[in-house]
Parts: sequence; C-alpha cells; structure tokens
Amino acid sequence: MKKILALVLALTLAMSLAACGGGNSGGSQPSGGDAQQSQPSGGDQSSGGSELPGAGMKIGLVCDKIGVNPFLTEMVRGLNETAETYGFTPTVVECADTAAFEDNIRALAAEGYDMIIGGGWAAGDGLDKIAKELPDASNYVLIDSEVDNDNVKCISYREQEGAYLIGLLAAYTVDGESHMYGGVHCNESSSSWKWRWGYQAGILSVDPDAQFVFNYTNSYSDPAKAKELALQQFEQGCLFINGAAAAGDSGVYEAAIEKGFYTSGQDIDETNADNPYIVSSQIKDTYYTMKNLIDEFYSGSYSKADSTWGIAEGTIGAVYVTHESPNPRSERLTDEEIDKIRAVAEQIGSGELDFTTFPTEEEFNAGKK
Amino acid sequence: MKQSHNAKELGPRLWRSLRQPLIAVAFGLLVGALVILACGQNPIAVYIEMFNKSFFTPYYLFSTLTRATPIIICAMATGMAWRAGYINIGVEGQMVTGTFVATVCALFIPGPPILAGLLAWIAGMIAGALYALLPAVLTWKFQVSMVITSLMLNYVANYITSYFVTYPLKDTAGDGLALQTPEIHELMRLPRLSTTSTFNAGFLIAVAVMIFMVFITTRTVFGYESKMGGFNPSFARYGGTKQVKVMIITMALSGAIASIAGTAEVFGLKYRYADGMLSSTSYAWTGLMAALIADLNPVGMFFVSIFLSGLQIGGSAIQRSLGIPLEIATIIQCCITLFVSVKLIFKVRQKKPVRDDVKEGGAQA
Amino acid sequence: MKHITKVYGSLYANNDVHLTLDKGEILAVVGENGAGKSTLMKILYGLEQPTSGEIYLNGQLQHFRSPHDAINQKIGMVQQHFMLLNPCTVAENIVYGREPRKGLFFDREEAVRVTEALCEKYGLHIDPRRLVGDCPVGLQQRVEILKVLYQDADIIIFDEPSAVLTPQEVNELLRTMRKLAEMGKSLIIITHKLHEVMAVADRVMVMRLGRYIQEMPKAETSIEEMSYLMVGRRIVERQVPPRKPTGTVLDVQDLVLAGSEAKNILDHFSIHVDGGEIVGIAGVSGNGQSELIQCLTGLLQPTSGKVMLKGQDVAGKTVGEIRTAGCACIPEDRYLWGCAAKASLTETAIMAHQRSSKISRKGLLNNKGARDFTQSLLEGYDVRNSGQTQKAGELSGGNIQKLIVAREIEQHSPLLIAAEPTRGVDIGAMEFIHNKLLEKREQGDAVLLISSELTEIMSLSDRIYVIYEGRAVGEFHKADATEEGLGILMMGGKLNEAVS
Repeated sequence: MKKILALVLALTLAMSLAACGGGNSGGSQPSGGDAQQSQPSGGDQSSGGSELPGAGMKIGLVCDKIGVNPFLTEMVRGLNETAETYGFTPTVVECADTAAFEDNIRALAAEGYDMIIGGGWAAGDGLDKIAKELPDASNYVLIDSEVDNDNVKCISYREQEGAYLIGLLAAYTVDGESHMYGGVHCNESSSSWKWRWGYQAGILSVDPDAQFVFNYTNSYSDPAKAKELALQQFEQGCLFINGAAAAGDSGVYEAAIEKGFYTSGQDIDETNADNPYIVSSQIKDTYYTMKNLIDEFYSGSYSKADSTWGIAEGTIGAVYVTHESPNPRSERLTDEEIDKIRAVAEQIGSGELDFTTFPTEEEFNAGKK
Repeated sequence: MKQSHNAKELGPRLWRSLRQPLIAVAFGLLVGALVILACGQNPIAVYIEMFNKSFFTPYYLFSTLTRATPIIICAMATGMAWRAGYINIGVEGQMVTGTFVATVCALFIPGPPILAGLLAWIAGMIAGALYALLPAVLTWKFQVSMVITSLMLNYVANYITSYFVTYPLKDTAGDGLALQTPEIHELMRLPRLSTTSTFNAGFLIAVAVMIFMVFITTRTVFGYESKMGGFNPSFARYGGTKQVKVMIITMALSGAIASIAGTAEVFGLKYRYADGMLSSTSYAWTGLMAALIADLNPVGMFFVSIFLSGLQIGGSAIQRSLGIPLEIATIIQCCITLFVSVKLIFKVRQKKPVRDDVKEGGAQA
Repeated sequence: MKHITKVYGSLYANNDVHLTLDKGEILAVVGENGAGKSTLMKILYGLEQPTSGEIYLNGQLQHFRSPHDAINQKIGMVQQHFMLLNPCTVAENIVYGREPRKGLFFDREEAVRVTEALCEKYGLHIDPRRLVGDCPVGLQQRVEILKVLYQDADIIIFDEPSAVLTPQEVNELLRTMRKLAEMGKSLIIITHKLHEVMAVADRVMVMRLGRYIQEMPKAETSIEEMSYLMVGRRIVERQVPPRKPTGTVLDVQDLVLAGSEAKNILDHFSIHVDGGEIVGIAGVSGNGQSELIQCLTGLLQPTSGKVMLKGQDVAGKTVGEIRTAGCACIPEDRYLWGCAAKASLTETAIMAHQRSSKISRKGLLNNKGARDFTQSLLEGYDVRNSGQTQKAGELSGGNIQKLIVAREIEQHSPLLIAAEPTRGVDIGAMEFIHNKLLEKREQGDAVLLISSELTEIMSLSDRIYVIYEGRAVGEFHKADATEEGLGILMMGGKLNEAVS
C-alpha cells in the first residue's frame, strides 16, 4: 500500500507541476468567459486599463445556478461587457443552495468588492442581512426583487407596462373571437398582481367585455402543471393564455400547439418559428438592466435609492413592439395593430400614459362590478 | 485478511487507520486535478486557493465551521440510529419537521422571547423525535422496512413545510417573492462568536451534541445495549435487552438531534425558516456521508463533517476567485468525497472472511 | 513442506514446521486451538505466504500466491464454513468457477451431467438439481467435497470437517475419506477430535504452539499419547463426586410450542432439574433442542405449558425477566447468540451483566468496573487475548467459547443452561469447560446440558433425558445410561428393551 500511496502522491505532484508550466505559457483563460481571474494577468483589457475609471475595482454578481437560464446569462453578458468598458474585474458566483447565497455575499464583502449585485429574489435575504451587518463594506444591489433595507439598492421593474402591451397584443390576436382570456402564473402574490393588472387593463382597453381566468403553478419550474392548467383554461373558452409561470411556460406552449390557442412568453424573446401560437413575449431585459446600473455607477448618478425601471429605460417591453425578433410575426397581428400598440408603448415611455401607480386587486375587482 | 491479533506498537496501527482516508484524499485530489487541467487551470494554484479559503484563513475557517454545524449534528443523528442497527435515512425529514415546528413556536409563543425561544427548541426536538418514531413504529408493528419509510417521510416533511411557508406563514415583507417565514425575535438568536463572520453559538451546540454522543456511547447502559443490538441483534436479545425500548429511545434521540441541526441553523444563522433551506443544502446527506466515512465514531464524524463542509466552502471560493464554474468545483468536491467513501467498500470486503478465520484463530499465541 | 515459518508481528504462528504427505495417505494434523494447524494449511492452499520455508510438490519447488495457484497444482480445500451459494443448485455450485459452456452461455444440462458422473465415480450420491440451501449440513459438505473433486484435486485438505456434523454424518464422512484415499487421493485432516483420527488416519502429526512436535503412524499411538503431546500434559481422568440434590430448580411442565405445520415443535415436553445436578438432554439435532432453549430463556414464546424456575412460572416472560429470575445460558451457536464479531472483549464479557451493580449504576456504565470484571473473566478462564479492545471476532473459537462460558457462569444463577458448550473447541478448552460445569454443580446449582455429543452428555450428566420430535421420550440415571439405549431412543425407537 505504501508503494501505491507514494505513486499517487508523485503523480499528483507531477500532474500539478506539468500544469503549472502549461498554464503559464498558455495564458490560462477560464473556459466560459463569464468570469476572469482576479490576478490582473488577463491580457484582453490590460492595454490602457489603468486609465479606465473602473481599474482595480471589483464587481460581483451572486445568483442561482446559471446554466441556460436567459434571465441570468443576459445579466452576465451585461456585466462582462461593461467590465470591458470600465475596466473593473467582474466575478460571477453561482450558488448551489440557499445557504450559499449568504456565504458568498459575505465573502465578497470581506474580499473588498466595490459592488455586489444579487441576481434575483433568491439573493434578497442574504443581501439584506449583510447590508445590515456591514453597511459600508460594499454597494449592494438587488435586481428584480425588493427588500426593506436602505443599504440595498433594489432594482425592480414596471412589469405592468410590458404586461399592458401583451394585453393589447392578446386582444388584437383574438379579435373578439372569444371574450375569455387566460393566464398561467407562478403564484398569486401581491408582487405578481402588476403582471395580471397590466395584462387585464391592456385587454380591457380593446375588448371591454373581456373576462379573465388565472391559475397558478406555485412553482417556478413545473411545466406539467402549467400545461394542465392551460388545457383547462382552453376548455373554458380561452383563446389567449398568457404564460408567466417561469420555466413552466414550456408546458403552456405545448398545450398551445396541441389545442391551437395563442400564448405569450416572458422575460426574453420566446417566440419560435416552430410554434406560431407564441405571438409575443413580455421582455424583461436584464442585459440593459446591468448596463444601466453600471453606467449609473460610473457616471456618478448612482444612488442607494431603489429604482423601478420600465419601458422608458429600455428594460421592459414586448416582442414585435419594443423589441425585434428574428422569428416571423403571427398572421393574426396586422401592421396596423402593431403600429397602434407601438404608439401606446411610446406614450408609456414618454410618461403620457402613467402606469407607475395602478389600482390594487381589490379596487380593480370592485371597479369591474 | 485479518491476521495478527496480538498487540502491536501504536505507530503502525495509527498509520493503518489513517492510511485509507489519506490515500482516498490523494486519489480524489488527483482526479480533481485532471478535471481542473481539463478546464485549463493550474491544479496546484486551485488547490492552494481552495484549502486556503476553507481551512487556513480564520475568516474562511469560521465559514467552514458555520456550515459544518448542521452537518455535524445530522451526522450525530444518523450515527445514533445506525450504530444501533436502525437504518434511519430520514434525518432530513426529522430535521425539517423539528426545525419548522421550532420556528413556528418561536414566532407565535407569547411571553418573554428567551423563554419562548427555549420552549421552541424543546418543541422542535419533540416534533423531530415524534417524526422519527413514525418509521420506528411502522417497523415494530408492521415490519415495514425502515429504510423505505424513513426515506419517504423526508418528502412528506419537505412538502408539508413547503406548503406552510408558501401560504399561511409566508413573510409578506419586501416583494414577498421568497418563500419564507418572518424573522424570529432578536433576543432568541444565538450569539455570534466572531465579529466578522456568522460563526455562532450553534457550533458550540454541535460540540455539545458530539460530547453527548460520546457520553451515550461510552458511558451508558443504553449506549452499550444499542451498540450490541447494532452489531448483532440476536446477541443483544439473548443478553436480555428490551429491543423495542432501545429502538424507540434510539429513534427518538436521533430525531431530536436531527431537529437540533436545523434549529441551530435557524436560530444561529438564518433567523427564519425558508423553503428548501435544509433540503437544498443537503445537510442531512452530507452528514450521512460523514457518519459512514467515520464509521459512526462520534469524534470521527465531527472532523469528517468539518472536512466535507470545508470542501464545499472551498469550492465556492475557487469559483469566486479563480472563475472556475460551479459545476467543476462540485466535481472536485465529489471526487474527493467519492474516494474517501471508497474506504467503506474496502472495509466491507475485509470484514467478510472474519467468521471463516475465527474458528481456528491461526495466529493465536 | 520444509522449514515453514510464518510470523505475525512478534508471534510465530508456524515455527520451522515440516510436513510430508504420500500418495493415497490420510494424514491427520492435530493440535489445540492456536497450535498453527490452520495457518499451515492456509500456506499450503495459497491463502497465506510463508515468512520463510519452501513447498515442494512431487519434488518441484512451488510458490503459491493464491488459492488459484494451489488449485492449478491440484490442491483443494474443504473449508469448515462452506463457501456455497445457497440459492443455487448443487450442480451449479460444483461447477462454479469452471462452468461448462455452450457458446457464451452456461450449459446447465452439461453441469448436471458432469455432477452426476462425478457422484458416480466417487460414490457420493446427491441430487444435482437440489438447491444447496435446502440440503442438510452433511450434504452441503458433500457438495464442497465434490467441488474440490471437480477441480480435479489430488491433495484434499479438510479443515475441521466434523465440527458441524451430526454423529451419523460424521460416520458417513469418515467412510468417504477412506474411499477417496483408496482411489489414490491424498488427504490432510485438521482436527482435534482424536477418535476420528484413530478411525480414519494413516499417520498423525502433532503441533503445539506453532511448532512441529512429533509424527507417528496411527498404529503406534493412542488417544492418550496424542492428547498428551497436544496439550503438553496428561489429561487426568475425571473423578466426579456423587450428586447432592438440593431441591427442584427448574420444572418444565407440558411445554408446547406450535409449529407452522400441524406438528408441534415442542410437544408436551416435561422435565425437571434439581440443584446440585447436571441433567443432560440427548438427541439428534433438529428434534426441538434449539426451540427448547429459546423457550426456556425467553427468546421464544411457548404456546402453552409452564416453566417453573425456583417456584416462579417464567413461561412467556422476557429474556431479561427470566435472567433476573435466575437463569443463565451458554448459547448453542456462539456466533449467532453468544457474541458480536465487532464487539470488544469487554463488551462481550459484560453482556447480561450490564445492569449489575459492578458494571453500572442508574444506567451509567462504570467502565473501570467493566474492565476489571472482564479481566477477571479473561484471567480466571484462561482466555488468550491481546487486550480487552480486541474484537470478539478475532478470538479463536475455543477462546471466545471460554469467555462466553465465563460470562454465564459468573452470573451465579441457580440455573445454567449449557447448550453445546464445547462444540468445535479443542481438548484443553473442553476439559476446562467441563470442569467449570462440574464446579457449578458442586456449588449446588442446577445445570441443564444440551449437547449432540453423546460422550459429553454421558460423562457429565447425573440424569439424562432423550428428546425426540419435541418430546421427552426417556429418562436415565447416570448408572443406567448406555450409548445403545440412548441411541435407540434418539432415533425414535421404542424403549421396552432399553429400560432397566
């Protein structure tokens, strides 16, 4: 056994040494490109790096496992691009479990990061805690969620603006063939009301007789349940079913193909050349969010106050209206209709139509009666 | 083959007991090194970073110990049942149930917070113990396999608590996206032991649980009887131990300890119960792993738990500072853990021929 | 085998041992537990490598690194604990490792044919299609032997072959051995049952403490000489003082244990045991002895009947209650009931003492008390060990048995049930255990001895019951008991002519 042990140790050592040599000469760059080594050896931005405003600074993004989640990959893209512009060192930390968020945020704060960005609600609790404990250690930013903490800049979205556009699209798609409109959402919380309100308000502005049915998957990743709910809504007469069930949306799309009703996605462009029933997608642009945030940070207009961004900031929109798509548009939507919607979008952007405040669910329901 | 029954000098014996784990770690590091090489990094630098930022810098050592706290206690809960021969793999469910009950009690028991907090701990332990008794009673009355019942009850516990934090007990502060309860009162929280990190008195509780385990196993008739029952149930029965009683106490203790693991996490670190906080972190399974690697020895479980926790903390660290993707960091952790657990297989293999050798003790003086 | 030496640490398991074996010869290697017989055989079979020394086979130097090498050189070994696959058939077990094939597949029919041919050739009959698990122990051993023969072994080592067999099966085995020797096979038997040696061996080699002591043709030796050489001293013929009964301790009345089928396992079984006497229960194993022990000790619940222990009915009570009432038990299977292989000697020794005041108070163990107690047992009963932390599974059979006997006798209970107290232990340990049982009797306690060794029962017991199919079919006083009389009853015969 001793022999084997000696062999193993020798091998480990040899491998490591070999790697040392190879690594140095080859200029080892991380494979994914979504993060760089903290040593300033990275050659890609070293030219004149010292003159950039962000030189020597570190910004970290703490988020869930990224994988192919577009909400996060877009955020990472925004971080890395701005890093080239401003010269700071970007770090992306994925968290394997709920306890890891707090650990990682704390570690970044201890390691002297200039800004720590939490990508999504899962980071909220950790940011909240560490911002209370170490208020001056860093600038804390939470994207797409809110915590009651003055030291955490919470960036949330006026999703109701996007939802309103989707509502318009829905009404024009259906063209009065049915007055039942559906929606499969994640959960029935106060925060998701703005989605439902915008969607309903948009539809009602075109089709005053519209009636709505919403169901909830109570999960961020349950396509099977989402599909089941969508099929039920179709049976109730819905010709348009708004998908807002996060990863569950794929279930709604499947149901749409099977039954031939129309639907829309969320967060990114979910339209698909193979699925003509997805007529649009409500955009939440995390790439622009990241870019806006870091632009603010280096332009001096940054403050710890919470921000709410919408169509005006270019972070919220709808496919075919504010955002282009490589996929063909559904034939149910005419150029005229799109122009009408675009006009509304411009009104929202300019503030002519103000959706920053909107009725609560109780007020809305009371108003309908 | 087992030979040489006669006493030997301590040196070789110590070496023999350390040999397997050391070789295992070396192999794990080696395979991990290949993975690191494959993603174009320098293994030595990565390993230095990894161990620096898990064991050899005070701040990270504290992180490691903090994360180790629930793992240690889960290992003890597992060990408590397994050493008596009851394969309780429901520690997660018992922990979740106990912790959830403790949190709810902490939130709703009126009166002075410290007293309410104390009651909450006790309520949690009772809940964990009762939850552990479910599979015990099923085994006793209906001869159902405890492996299956205890495993399945994990899901039951997870989903039930998930329901409660999603609906009736959800914290509506902020935007209410997170599925979690409100925070517990500040006076109930365990004191921090370090000003810079979250290292808290929960770790002391873990140490206390370990000492309790050592006490139970080496100092009590119950510990002796349950251990013999684990080694050979027929032997224990023949010696007059009351097996049902031993089983009930064992499982209740196991469940109560499991509940401490999660309650310490809530009261010392998280201050609230969040959905999945105890399951997504795999505390119970890491604890189970530690218990097996350490062969159910309490002190061994303590250190193995810290080691496994360090691997997780170190894995996050290399991700942060070297940009190694989380998946790779996980692979490295798994390689090391895997090879450490290979020790078990060696052991099982060694044990087989024992009875064959016994009969004529070849090397008897 | 020349100058074979095997050193474990500082211990010489074999010290310069020589062994020769001629063709067609049966060599018996005898010695006490720990004399180094097994080690020597393991070296010959390739399981262990000698520290020094050489093995020559037909004049050629051999190096056996594994049993595989030994098998290739036509050496086979019948292990004491069978290495058989119980869920498989006899034929499958025999051909295992060298299966006949049809293409890529196992040829089951060919295996059966091969087995039948083998049975025919050696006159060892067995149904090749039977499951090994369903075979009695004697047949399982036959499967082991056939397996070795299938591997075409010329030298066959038998390791304690009779330890697990009934007397009938032993006789069968001895006949088989002779037959194999006549067919030109060379046999080595490791044993410490000297009458078997006298019955079957051509030559005897005695080992003691790892050393070669002496060898001689069987014809020139005697059991007395062999035991003297093995133990190193004379075994004194035992003088048993007359019994002094002190009143009934155990009174079993009409004990019934229903079986799964119509027949009762214990069928209105009644006996009584007085203080100051040893009562033997003779019988072919499988006639309810195990169940009787378990009913008496509380491991099984009898269906009906009374077990009066010191005037108190303990039938259906728990093991703990019965032990408290005054019953200790040397279990029949020491590895199943008597110890746990992984438990330390201390843990083994204090079983059933754990609640006594020496060992614990109010549920807290007194570890020093436990160690002292264990030490007194180890020393008082001559249990050879390497310290109390040694695992029970590492002790030799005789030594662990001595420890169990010590533990149970030290209960100082009015009743001691001794089930197969000397199964598989050597002469020295056997003598020792027998003396301890007699001491117990002298103290005025009752001893219930259950054994499949008729000689043991007859030499120790004051009275003897015969158990047959769960019933007590006869009672003898020591003076009246004859092997023939007992034998007839044990086989289910009528006692008219046996009664005196």
